[in-house]
Amino acid sequence: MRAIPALVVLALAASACAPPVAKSGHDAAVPDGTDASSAFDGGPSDVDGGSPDAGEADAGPDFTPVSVSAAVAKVKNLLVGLPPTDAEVEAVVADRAALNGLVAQWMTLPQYNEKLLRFFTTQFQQDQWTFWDLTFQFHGNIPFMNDQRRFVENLQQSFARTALQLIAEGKPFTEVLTTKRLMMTTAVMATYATVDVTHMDDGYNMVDLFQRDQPSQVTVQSAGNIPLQQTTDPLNPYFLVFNAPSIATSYQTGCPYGTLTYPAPASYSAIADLLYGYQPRVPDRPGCFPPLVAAPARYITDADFSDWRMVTVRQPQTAEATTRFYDLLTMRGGQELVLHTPRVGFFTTPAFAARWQTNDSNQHRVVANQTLIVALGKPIGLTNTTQPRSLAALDTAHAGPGTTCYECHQSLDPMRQFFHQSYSYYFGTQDVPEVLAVDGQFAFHGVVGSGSRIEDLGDLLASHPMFGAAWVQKLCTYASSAPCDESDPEFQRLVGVFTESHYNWNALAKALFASPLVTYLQATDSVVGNGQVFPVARRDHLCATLSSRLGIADVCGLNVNTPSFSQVLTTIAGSWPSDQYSRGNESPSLAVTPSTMTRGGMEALCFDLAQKLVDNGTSGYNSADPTASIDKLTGTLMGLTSDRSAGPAAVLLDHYNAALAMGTPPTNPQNKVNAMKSTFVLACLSPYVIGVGQ
Amino acid sequence: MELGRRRLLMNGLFGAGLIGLRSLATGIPASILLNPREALARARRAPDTLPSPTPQYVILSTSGEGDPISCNGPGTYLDSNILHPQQPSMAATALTIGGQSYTAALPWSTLPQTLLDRSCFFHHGTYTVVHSDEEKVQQLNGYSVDNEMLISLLAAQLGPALGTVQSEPIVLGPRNFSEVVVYQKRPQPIVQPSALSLLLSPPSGPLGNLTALRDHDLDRLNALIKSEGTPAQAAFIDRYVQSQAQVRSISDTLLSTLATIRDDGMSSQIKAAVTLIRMNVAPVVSLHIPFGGDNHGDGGLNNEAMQTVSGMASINQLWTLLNTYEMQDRVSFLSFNVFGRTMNRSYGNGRAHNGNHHLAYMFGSQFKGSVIGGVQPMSGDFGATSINSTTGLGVANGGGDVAFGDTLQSMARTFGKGVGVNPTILDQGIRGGKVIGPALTLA
Repeated sequence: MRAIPALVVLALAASACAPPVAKSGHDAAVPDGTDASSAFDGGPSDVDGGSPDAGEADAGPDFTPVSVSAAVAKVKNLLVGLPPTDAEVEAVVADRAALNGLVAQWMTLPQYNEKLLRFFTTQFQQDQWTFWDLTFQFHGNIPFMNDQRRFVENLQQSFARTALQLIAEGKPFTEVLTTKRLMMTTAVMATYATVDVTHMDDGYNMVDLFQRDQPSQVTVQSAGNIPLQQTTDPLNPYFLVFNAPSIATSYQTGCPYGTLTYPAPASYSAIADLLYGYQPRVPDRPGCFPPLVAAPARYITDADFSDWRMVTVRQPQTAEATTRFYDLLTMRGGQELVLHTPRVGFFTTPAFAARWQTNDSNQHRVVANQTLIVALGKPIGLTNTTQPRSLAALDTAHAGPGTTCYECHQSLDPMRQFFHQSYSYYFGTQDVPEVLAVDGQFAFHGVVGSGSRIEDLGDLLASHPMFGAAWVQKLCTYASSAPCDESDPEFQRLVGVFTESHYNWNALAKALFASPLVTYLQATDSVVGNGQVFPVARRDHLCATLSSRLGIADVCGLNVNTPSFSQVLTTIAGSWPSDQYSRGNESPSLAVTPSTMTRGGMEALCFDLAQKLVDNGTSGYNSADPTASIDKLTGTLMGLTSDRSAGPAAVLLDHYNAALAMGTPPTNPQNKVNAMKSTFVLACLSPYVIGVGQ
Repeated sequence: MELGRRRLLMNGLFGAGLIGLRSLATGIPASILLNPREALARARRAPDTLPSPTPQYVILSTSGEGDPISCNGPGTYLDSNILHPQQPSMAATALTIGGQSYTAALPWSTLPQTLLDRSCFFHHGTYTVVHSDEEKVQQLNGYSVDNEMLISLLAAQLGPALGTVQSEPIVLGPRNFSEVVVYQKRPQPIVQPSALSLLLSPPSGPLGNLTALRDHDLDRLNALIKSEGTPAQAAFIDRYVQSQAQVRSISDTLLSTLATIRDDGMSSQIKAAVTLIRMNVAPVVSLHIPFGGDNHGDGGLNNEAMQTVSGMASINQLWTLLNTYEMQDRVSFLSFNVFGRTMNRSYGNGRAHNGNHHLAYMFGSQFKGSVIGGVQPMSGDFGATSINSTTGLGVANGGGDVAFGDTLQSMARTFGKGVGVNPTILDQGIRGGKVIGPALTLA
């Protein structure tokens, strides 16, 4: 073993890169993306399509197809968490191609966007960070410290919602790499504007731009109730006079109250702390902590965390002012932010920067590498032999020619320069002339380019031929719980559907969820080679399934604003297997097998649901009517169509009767209730609920 | 009719007949259904793979961030060019390990002498400077057969030997997502300590009284699904049935202890780890004790100093708990990160990654107080020396019979033998390296 040079910091995985995406040999892709039918239409399945036997599907060597009912149930569950109807299964039995239409239909249901929101949040790597991971971007003065959960959720969901909106507008999916329009709430807009009012350089030195460029006195007082319109109007005598009822009376010995004056030039934090932290900062008295301003006296309202709309972020024209970070009235309902700091695509959001923090040693390498993983599905690795046009940005002190690290750094260092030209290591605006003088260089699997703006990186990524395969793989992995074989002709057909539809996401989703890569109705190279995967339902799937089938929005309490239906479910969901990306890895870690913990957790979860739902008057699970309740359990919670519900229903009925018989004393009216609750738990514990594809 | 059915059901539930039926229906051996814990242990234990001499439970601390635990332990104070935090809390302090005098940062001297006497400090390389290689390093960076993680290899042997409920390691969080634990190709979920009680507690009350009946009927459902499914669907059912057998075999005597864990902090993670071992749930519990994190920008090494103090407090807490429950001779500990960190004084602001040096810290009843290997200048910083396997001493410039490139595998083999895994299994599972005898009390 040769000693390796120390001091190198990069997040690379030297994993094998995908073979070039071959053009599909099938002709089924439809360019406009509106009818991307399966390549298997008209194939052997159609010959048997009229067969009344729902259990038959297409076998191949070393391949056992699943039943049509199971396949339809799986696809609908993956898309929206709902059970299939008899008519839907019968339609697919009659004509396998009917699945394409059903998928398109299910994609119009509201549950689809809810699932896609979580999928995109994970795939764009906007999650898996906590409030304090924003510290460096905000120089320790993070807004909404007293409203952390919904603030973090807003930031984590912002780009996923952007992707959903772009899809809804019919934009090519490549716009996720180039968009300067982002879905924001007023709280998110305020966050972008606040971070933009400070400038942090590579040495983590901060300049308060408000203090420097708009020297002003700020007053915080408790006596009056100055309307925000007057507070933000430079011509009004109450300009920058803010209300804080919480300092009306003495709150701490020796600390000022009533009125706090911040002489010019006041720091931006005098305002931001009150507006977005709900707590005035006492000038020059670091030991004084006034009480939080209570709602509804806060400037930020609940609606400011939910008023999502597309907001265009642009940089100022010459002599144009940027958006004032305290001008909530303009931001509310506004659709534009003028900021010093450029923002484009998924890779410049505060959430992505919080997830992949850089520093003066890492020097944006991790951000650049993770950007490649999200956009193109591969990290920098030894298989990338494309040479950049210039090595001016190569850090030879860390990875000089001839060292082990050089092979990767020669690509990575020039590429991270796209970030460094636009941002300091702490996402401040880059203004060092020597840094600005060196262009970013892109050299990745056959594509070479250069540029001086972060937008140039987005354009290069959007035009890269690996983009299509990367996103087919992400969706395929999500749907089948294992990476799909990219050399499989069916995989390549899906890539063709996506690229030839001008990256129409709906065309891809429609084709993929009807594909035998997901349904296992027909042999594919992937399935024959790697086997079928029937996983335990990971968190996003399980919670969506339970929510949809029980008719309880966000039953697991994953959303901050959802009133907790069950603390038990929320706690268990927090430890349930979920899709997770780790640094440098192109595939998420997917726990797929049942374990002691999942079995135990599922039991606790089902118990809690049974206690809350049976005989609650609205759920339909009624101990006085076991027959109807069991019908509902099999048809709704277990998601079984009538062609395969009889056996499970008999088991449930047996269980109900046996449990009833075990009740003591026999005349106890509670026996029926307990028997129905136990029957509910049994149905809930069935593999139809805890598993995907059963 | 109902009474007759009830009698039949009760007889069946608690009699051999239904066990046989359940076994037939599910494919799970009757012995497992009758007594899951003993049967699972017995089934897994093959005579030729019996660990020798005494199988240990393992608590693994690992960091994908590459915490600087490597930089201030015994063996890192011999070269004056090695940078150490200058805070008083990290003052160079003499301590005795295996009868020899060493210098280490003050927090290491807070460990009781009884613990130091069974502590091995093993200097080795991990051969990578890449964060995302955490998983690969745990797989010994290509030196484990089938890329099995070291703790997976150990757990597969120790689980049956200890008769644990499951052989899969339990992975406690919160933790960095790169610190995934994969057991026999299956990523294991990250479990929050505060959720353990909910996850493992058996049903109670009237519905709890119906558990056996429900398990029986779930077996029927499973059998029905299995009979109609593909082989892959059936394989899922088999694992699901096995998980039910596992959860039913958990002792409930310590669940009240788990119920007292209300947060997911470090102290709670340690308490959870010890409790899970006392409950015999798993042979290996993985956690992450912070020792300074990815401290590139740690000016003055302040965070390193602070977290070395808190990290050592966590190890002391673990040791205290093990002694309280008389588990100190049955549980071994290993700290094994993705890489060490640079130690050269000239580097300055914080520390960068160092694949040439890592200090594995291990303790257990079958380890001797020892410092294995050492450090030497390497590639502009410091790296692990080769090792004389007879003395355990580091040999600079490659003179030892264990070359630098075999030090990672040797650390793994040594730990494996120290926790009671049969050397034959280690030979089969790890390519290269040697057991370093002076680290062990074993022959």
